[in-house]
Amino acid sequence: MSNASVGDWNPNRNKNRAITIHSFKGGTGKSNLSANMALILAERGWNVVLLDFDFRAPSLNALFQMNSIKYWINDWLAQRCELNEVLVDLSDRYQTMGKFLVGFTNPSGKAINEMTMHSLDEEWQARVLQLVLDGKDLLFEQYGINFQIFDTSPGFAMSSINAILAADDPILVIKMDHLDIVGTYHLIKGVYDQTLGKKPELVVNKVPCSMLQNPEDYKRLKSELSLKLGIEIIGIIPCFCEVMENMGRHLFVKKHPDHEFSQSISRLAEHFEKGN
Amino acid sequence: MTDASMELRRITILERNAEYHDAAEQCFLVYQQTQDSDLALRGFRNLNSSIWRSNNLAEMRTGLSDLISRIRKAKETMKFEKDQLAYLEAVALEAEGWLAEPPDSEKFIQATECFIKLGELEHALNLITSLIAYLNPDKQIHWAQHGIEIATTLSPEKKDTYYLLLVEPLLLYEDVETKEALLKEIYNRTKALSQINNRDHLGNIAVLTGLDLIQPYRIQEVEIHSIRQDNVHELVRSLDKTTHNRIQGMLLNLLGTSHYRMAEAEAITDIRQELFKKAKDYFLQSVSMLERTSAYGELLRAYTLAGEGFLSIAELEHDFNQRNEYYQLGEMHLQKSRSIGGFTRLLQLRARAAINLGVALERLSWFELSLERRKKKLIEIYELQIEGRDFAQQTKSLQEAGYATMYASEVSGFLSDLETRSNQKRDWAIKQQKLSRTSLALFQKTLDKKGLVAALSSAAFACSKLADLTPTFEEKKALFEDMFLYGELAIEGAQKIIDPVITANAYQQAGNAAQRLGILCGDGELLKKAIELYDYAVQAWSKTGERNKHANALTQLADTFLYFSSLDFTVKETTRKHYLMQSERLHQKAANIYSNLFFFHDEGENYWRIGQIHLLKEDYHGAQEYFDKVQKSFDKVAELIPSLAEIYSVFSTFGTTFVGLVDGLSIIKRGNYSHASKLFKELASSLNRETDRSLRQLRQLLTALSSIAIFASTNDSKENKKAKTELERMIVKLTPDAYDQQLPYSLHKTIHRLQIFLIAPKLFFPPLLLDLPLKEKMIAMTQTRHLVRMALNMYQATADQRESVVKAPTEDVIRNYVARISSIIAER
Repeated sequence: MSNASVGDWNPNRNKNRAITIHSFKGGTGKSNLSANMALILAERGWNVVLLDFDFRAPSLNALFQMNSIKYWINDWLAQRCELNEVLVDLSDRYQTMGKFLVGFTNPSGKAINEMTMHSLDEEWQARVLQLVLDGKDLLFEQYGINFQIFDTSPGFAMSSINAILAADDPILVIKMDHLDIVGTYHLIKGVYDQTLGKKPELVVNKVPCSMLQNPEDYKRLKSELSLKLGIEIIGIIPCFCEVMENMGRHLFVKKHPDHEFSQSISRLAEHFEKGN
Repeated sequence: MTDASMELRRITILERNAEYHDAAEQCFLVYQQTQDSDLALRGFRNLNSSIWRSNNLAEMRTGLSDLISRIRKAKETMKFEKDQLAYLEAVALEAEGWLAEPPDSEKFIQATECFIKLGELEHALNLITSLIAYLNPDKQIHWAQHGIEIATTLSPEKKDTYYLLLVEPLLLYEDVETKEALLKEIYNRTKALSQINNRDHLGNIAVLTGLDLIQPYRIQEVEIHSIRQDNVHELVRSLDKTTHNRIQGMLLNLLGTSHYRMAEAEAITDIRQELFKKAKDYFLQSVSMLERTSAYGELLRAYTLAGEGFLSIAELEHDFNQRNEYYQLGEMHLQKSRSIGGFTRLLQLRARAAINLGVALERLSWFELSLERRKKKLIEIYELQIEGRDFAQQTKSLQEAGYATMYASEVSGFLSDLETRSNQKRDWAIKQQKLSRTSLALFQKTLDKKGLVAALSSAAFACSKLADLTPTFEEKKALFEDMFLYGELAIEGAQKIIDPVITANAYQQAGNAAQRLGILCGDGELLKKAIELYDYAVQAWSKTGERNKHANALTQLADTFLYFSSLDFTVKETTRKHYLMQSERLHQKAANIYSNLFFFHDEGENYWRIGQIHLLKEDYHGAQEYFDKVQKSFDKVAELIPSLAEIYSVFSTFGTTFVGLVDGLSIIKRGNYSHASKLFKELASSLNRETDRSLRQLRQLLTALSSIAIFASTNDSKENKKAKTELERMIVKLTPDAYDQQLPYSLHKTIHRLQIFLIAPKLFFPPLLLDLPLKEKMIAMTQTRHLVRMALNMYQATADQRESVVKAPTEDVIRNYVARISSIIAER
């Protein structure tokens, strides 16, 4: 495992998508979904960068069980280092065909406080947006990255807004929870539609198996939610006890590639592979 | 002896035995034989007296109706002289006056005028002393003056009795200057009389009018007794039993009042308590006397005073069960006085009953464990105080209105504490401040110096409450400055009165103001001032015997020494150490007092601070010793109150873990990083099963310390150096920098805050205490109050910070932001 030397790479495929994984509420499974999908894409030969943009509750560090990080995303945004110094190359660890690079956010209380101190500082946020957009161009154009995936904070966090602004494919993740559905509706109408002018796609996660007894149930749920929220549903992922038991200790798709959860994530990855 | 003279003798014997009804019937019987109108008149006098002997209100009313109809009939059937007829008409008018609801003062006036014309001066004077209470203020004075004139024509012995009877209703008069002048006149006249008579009435009047603060207490006790035992018995021999009861009741009220005032001026708690108890007993005796009369005004006063007596006793009672019982008795008597209030037009007394009932309910509300019910009760109390204020304002009693407004202000503060929604919280605090200022303005117009000082302290308290809820520095500062000013004025006022509690409270409030302003502005001079003021407060509280408050003042003083030592960087190291020593000594003293009072939470808090002082001094061994004590104190609370065991076991674990943590720090100091790392790791794993959030946070800290210590022990010089720097930084943070407001993210504060946030919500829902026996409930509630207050302070201390840090942007903010960065997007 070493810090990425992205400059040596050549783009092997002609695809550049920036994806944000966002939600109204916490606990929808964004980080788990982002990390597993990023890994599947990398395993399929795409060059993938996964960035932890949840500055309130960073969790990728724990999910990937990183012991020592030289530079964090916090350092990049505070301009204490360059983007390529932040990215940790995990391609060897996971033996992926494409490059698999991850940028981690510092989970210490001090770092969280430092970031949240800037949460309403528009100047700082504008500078961060510049950095994110420059970084996006750099990774796509010069370093041959195909997918950049931002795992964001839930709700109206400014850092998430920046990631959404930089994204080509904003994705919202919801649970089958009434409050979450109502909140997501307002998030789509108030922020995505009116302010950001972006149309997100939806992934419904942790759906109780009792609601998905047969293929018809999938269709019905899809059309109901699509009608309610006015956006396209690109994935329905059932709730699996095995995933819960995994407790975010490792990447599930790596250990159980044939499990239905991994299949669901795989189908989601295909959606992006097929997209423009 | 003739038959007629035999009959007359029989009548006289009946009269002497106070068997007035029989005497009256005998008179009317003899009149039938003799047609002697004097005898008929004598019959009516006896009939009138018999009515006032009754203990039963309904019976009295029937008697009065009967009297009126018999007089009407007699006017037709009996032959009277002109004056005799006028007298009977006046008696009938008086009876009609009493039968009206409320009593008809106009009829009393007509009757009194008639009695005066007829030379029935004693009867007139008796009626004047009753009617004054039912008159408008201007008429009150007129009739009081009239009363004095009439009294001067009586014999010296009777003269001062009537003077005394006139003083009572006059006390209600609102025009302070006129009232004072009139009372002084009565006082001086009585004083002149006392050269001839004994000094009993003089003492009574002095006590009632407050003309002499000290002297009345000295002469009062013995001499009021003498009135009761000798003079009154002499006096009432010629009066009927009801009048006797009324006067006895009045005098017992006086006796109680004199004891009450002596108690208020007494510095030694035990004596103070004894005096309050004695006063209460007198008021209860008075109640039993007056219940047999229709003197509702006086009865209301007796009930109110008895209620107040119970409240005062409860305040000084250490036994929780007993204290609760006293509060309940207080409430019972005040409820009674409130219900009697409906019978009387004495609005001022009704005001007082409402106000004091509010006070009793407020004290009792602390026993209420459900937050919602407590809130409801407090709102009820608030309304009672407002009712009291309105009654008081109708009678233009500035003093009572001042007290009612001040109490309403304090209750608003409690409601602000209980409110969880920030807007409502602030609304109540604003209300509290407004009311406190109004009460201050009211007291400034009265001569009540004690009330004025209490109102100043209350206004200072209101400022601090509002400052806690105010986000901006400038506003906070302005409020603390006001608080300081009120505090200083309260001290100035307190020096003119003799009341140790009020004095102590004034110093404490001023100290709080100086301390908070000093911390806010980082002003060492103000902290010095706070030390000086707290020092006085400590001395003053120690004289009151209120040990809990004494310990609290000691804790504040100790804290201020710490603030001062960390704020003033210019002090020499030796001076700083001296401050730390002082602080430790005071915390230890406070801990000892709390321990004796079984307030183990506060004991633990003080030990926690001593532990931190030792950390500051880098005396790790000492720090360990005190963190160990912290654990023991919290264990004691857990043991004492089983329902709180869970919460206090968290506190206790903090103590234990800190003992180990400090051990690790001392090992680091000796350079043995790998050993320290192992210790931190062990400590962290001992917390593995803890589900408590703050303990998890502590576990993370220990894990981090352990990891850093590993790096510090590596051979890689770069890593090693970095780790050591990091360790040093963390150790600095482990010292009690809560005293340094400049370090908002300090570890200590974080842990403390987490503790508070964790604990406060649990205590805000006290149903978990419901199963406790009363004594434990009381202890738990005291702790709860303390914790909740602490939680609110902590919450507020971080409010500004969280305001700007944690708050998520609204849609508007996002919209503005997107508009602002649209050019960046457009460029792409």
